[in-house]
Amino acid sequence: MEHSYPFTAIVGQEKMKLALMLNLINPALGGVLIRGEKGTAKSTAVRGLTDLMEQVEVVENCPFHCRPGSGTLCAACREKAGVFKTVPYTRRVVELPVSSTEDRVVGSLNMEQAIKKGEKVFEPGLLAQANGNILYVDEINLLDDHIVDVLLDSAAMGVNTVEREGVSYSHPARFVLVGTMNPEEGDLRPQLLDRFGLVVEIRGEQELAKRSELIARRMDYEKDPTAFCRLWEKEQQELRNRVARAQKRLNDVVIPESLYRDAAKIGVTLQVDGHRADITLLKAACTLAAFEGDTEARREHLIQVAPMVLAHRMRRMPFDTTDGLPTDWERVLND
Amino acid sequence: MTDLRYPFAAIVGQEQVKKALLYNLIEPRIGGVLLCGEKGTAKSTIVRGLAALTEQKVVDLPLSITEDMLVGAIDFEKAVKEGVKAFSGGVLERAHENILYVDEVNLLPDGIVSTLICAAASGENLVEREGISFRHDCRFVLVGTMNPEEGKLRPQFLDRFGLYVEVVGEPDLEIRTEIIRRRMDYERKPVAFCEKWQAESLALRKKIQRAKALVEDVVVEEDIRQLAANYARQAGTEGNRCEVVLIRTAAAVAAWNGRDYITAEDLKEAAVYVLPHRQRQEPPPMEEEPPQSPQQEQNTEQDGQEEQKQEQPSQMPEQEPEYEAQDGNDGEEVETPPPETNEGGSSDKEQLVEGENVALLSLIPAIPRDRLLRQGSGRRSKTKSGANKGRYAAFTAHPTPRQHDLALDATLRVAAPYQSQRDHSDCAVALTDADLRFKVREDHVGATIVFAVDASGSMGAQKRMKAAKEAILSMLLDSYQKRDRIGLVAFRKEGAQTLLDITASVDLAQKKLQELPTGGRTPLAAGLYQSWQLLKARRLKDPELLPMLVLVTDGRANRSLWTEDAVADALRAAELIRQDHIHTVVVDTEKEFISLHIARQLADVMDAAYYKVDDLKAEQLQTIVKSRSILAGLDV
Repeated sequence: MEHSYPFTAIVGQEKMKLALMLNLINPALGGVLIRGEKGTAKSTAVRGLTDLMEQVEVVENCPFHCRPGSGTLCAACREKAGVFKTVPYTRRVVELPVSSTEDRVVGSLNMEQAIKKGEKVFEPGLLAQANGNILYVDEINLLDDHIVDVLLDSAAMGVNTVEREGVSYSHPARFVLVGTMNPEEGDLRPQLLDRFGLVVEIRGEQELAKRSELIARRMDYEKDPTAFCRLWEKEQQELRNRVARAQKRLNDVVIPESLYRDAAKIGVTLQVDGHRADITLLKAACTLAAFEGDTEARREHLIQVAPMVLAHRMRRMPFDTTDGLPTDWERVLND
Repeated sequence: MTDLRYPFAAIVGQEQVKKALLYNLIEPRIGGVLLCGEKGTAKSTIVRGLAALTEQKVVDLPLSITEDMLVGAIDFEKAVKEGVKAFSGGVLERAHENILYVDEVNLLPDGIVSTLICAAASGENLVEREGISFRHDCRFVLVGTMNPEEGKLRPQFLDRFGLYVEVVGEPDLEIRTEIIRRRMDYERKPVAFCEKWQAESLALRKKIQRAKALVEDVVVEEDIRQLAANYARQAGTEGNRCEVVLIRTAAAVAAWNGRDYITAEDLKEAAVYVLPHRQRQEPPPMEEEPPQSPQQEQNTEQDGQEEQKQEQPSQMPEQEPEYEAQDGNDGEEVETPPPETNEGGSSDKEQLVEGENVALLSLIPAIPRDRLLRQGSGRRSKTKSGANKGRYAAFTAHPTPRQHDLALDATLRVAAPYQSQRDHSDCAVALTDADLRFKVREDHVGATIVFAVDASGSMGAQKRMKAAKEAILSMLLDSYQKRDRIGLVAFRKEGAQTLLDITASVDLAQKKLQELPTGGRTPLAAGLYQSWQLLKARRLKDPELLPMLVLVTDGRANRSLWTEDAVADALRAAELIRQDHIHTVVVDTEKEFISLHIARQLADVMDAAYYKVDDLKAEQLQTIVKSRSILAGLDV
């Protein structure tokens, strides 16, 4: 197997790494959009997630790898009514190339079955593969409009409804959407932007020492990927364990009464559209608490995730170059 | 199967959305509801929750739907295996007597929209295609959600939605806190959460059933009919659907409140949902009540309720005779200008409904709409794509070198009727060359707009440049929605400079525009020439592109390009642009008392739309750009 560059070996870019970790722990966070210039390890980081993802039990031979007990099963698995054989499955990163056609994304009519047997059979597409996994779109801002529409549809409901090319089918499609983009190449549609739970803005590392370390590691990796990965395996395993512990703890993280209010307060004060921001704020704060090994979510957690949750949801005034976010969050909350 | 969707009863706030949906469950003939509003306001969650409250199913219409799956088509499985020509129903068949739900309805392709409009209007689905002839009843409650940031809806389609609700986030801190709390509870323990709300859901379900039974018996008195007609006329709605929907909705309101008769209050509540998207004009601003958020709106209504209840009995009988008396002598008397649309001398009629009705109309936020300009969703225009990309919109028997994707579904349907007569040696389906169908793809094409901005010293006078920048900015914001590509050329001092090559990044254009320095002479010809070059180069790469030029200048050309005469040169450059059929808008920033009107001349040469910068408001500018693209014949 080809070794991708280890996640833990990425130099700097802490915000991006944190955002990705939070989504790995809690798939309900709504994904992450990474905005930044070329050559900032965006893709490397996303692809590096594969090696950190946990193994789960899924229904054998199910094209959507349904997980028993997760509440959302495909029609075939529901029919089996709890009597299924499960197999271990490692969650993974499914890539959606910008040139994808609609039929490959949502699925279509199986050509072989149709012609050979005269039967209508659904041929699952990328959204089927993405169920329970991470769906990664590089240069997401260059995606065709009609593909974006399809993504919006499924991302909203966690279900992919197919009514096209002679097939009528619907299957679960719950995925963590991870997108990367270079803002100079064009903007993302507001509706899609809002679907992302978190957004991080990244820049190349400026510090000389870090840059030189970055080059050294990259060269080592390219010389001998296997050896390089072996060198980092200990860190990788530690991170895997940490993620696993956080996942276990997540649902038991205590949310103090005041924190609900804090989240609402931020939403009201900053006048963000709708309620998705408030809810994501709290979810992200809980996930961060779990990641840091805390049993209770606190205001510090909330404040730490706030910029990632809110930056893309602020109403920006024309010619406004700032991100519009407050610098003193404590003051916002105490006012 | 246990239903683990977020329970309808557990939704906090959004009373108007909930009511509008409930009324549709009670009286399906209302015709559905359009939920229009900002992101993340639980629009979809509420609709999904409906399924648990009624026998009706929520049938999804995904945006990626193809025509055959919407209306139904030949069942090729049956044709191949049994040699029978049978019809296989589509989404419309399943939607019959159910709820048809379209998320992001404004993004639906035009062809699908037209089919939907037809079906909704006639109450039946007629299929005549691929050797199949079939019809079935098709009456459904159409529920759509949309975020207006992504584009508008066609007026004909808008009118098909019985009710309209503008959805906004709850502004109140307490309510917001409760929303977050419930959502977290639900996500952490969905089963327990749904169980906790089961009793309330059941109670709600029963109440709906009772209301459903009652609505059949609701009597509509003559005075109510007249009041409904009055509302509709005041709002200046087209046709008479509005009155009918008003009364049906009012009947649902009455039944919901356990009554078998309609009060004026019911009708008033109904109007809040029925009129906004049908109003022809925005009512003039009333002093007391500007349009508000639905929450506040309801409160105000409730506040006024007692007072109005007392008025009601005395007011209603009075109205009738007056109404009839005036029918005969339209337009003879009373010059008082009516608050709403004044059509054909009906001004006197408005008088009798003074007070109450007028105040009501001003409470309903009239949504801006444009009857002249039809506008597709999202991007500015849609064209049949020449390449193998875009949305699969139709099929053809004649592939082109650039479009040759096999449309398997269409091919099979075409071949299906002949299967029993053909030789099947190795496949179940025998295809011949004549059966083959190929995909015709449809792609959105945004306009490619180059802004040529005069940055000379004469523009430098602070205010003028500011006005120009504002004008450009408002067009940029529109471009953002329409997915246009934009370029920026500035001309000052010795020549023109391309500040921004054609890009889809409005952000970048904004940045460049902000930094734009001013000063020096006005090389107008050079600016025009360079913009022309930029557009021409683009068109070579992409022949399907829709080029536009927006020239912002005071016209005071004083630096020549080819000859000695700066103005003549500019006019010559303009001529080149016209010959190339590039659609142009000229925004004149000249303010001096002694005007030279050069920008005007340029506009004439280029056959451009001409505007004075001072006359322009943001919306107007957007309309200009839009109507220009319609002139170009590229808007669908």
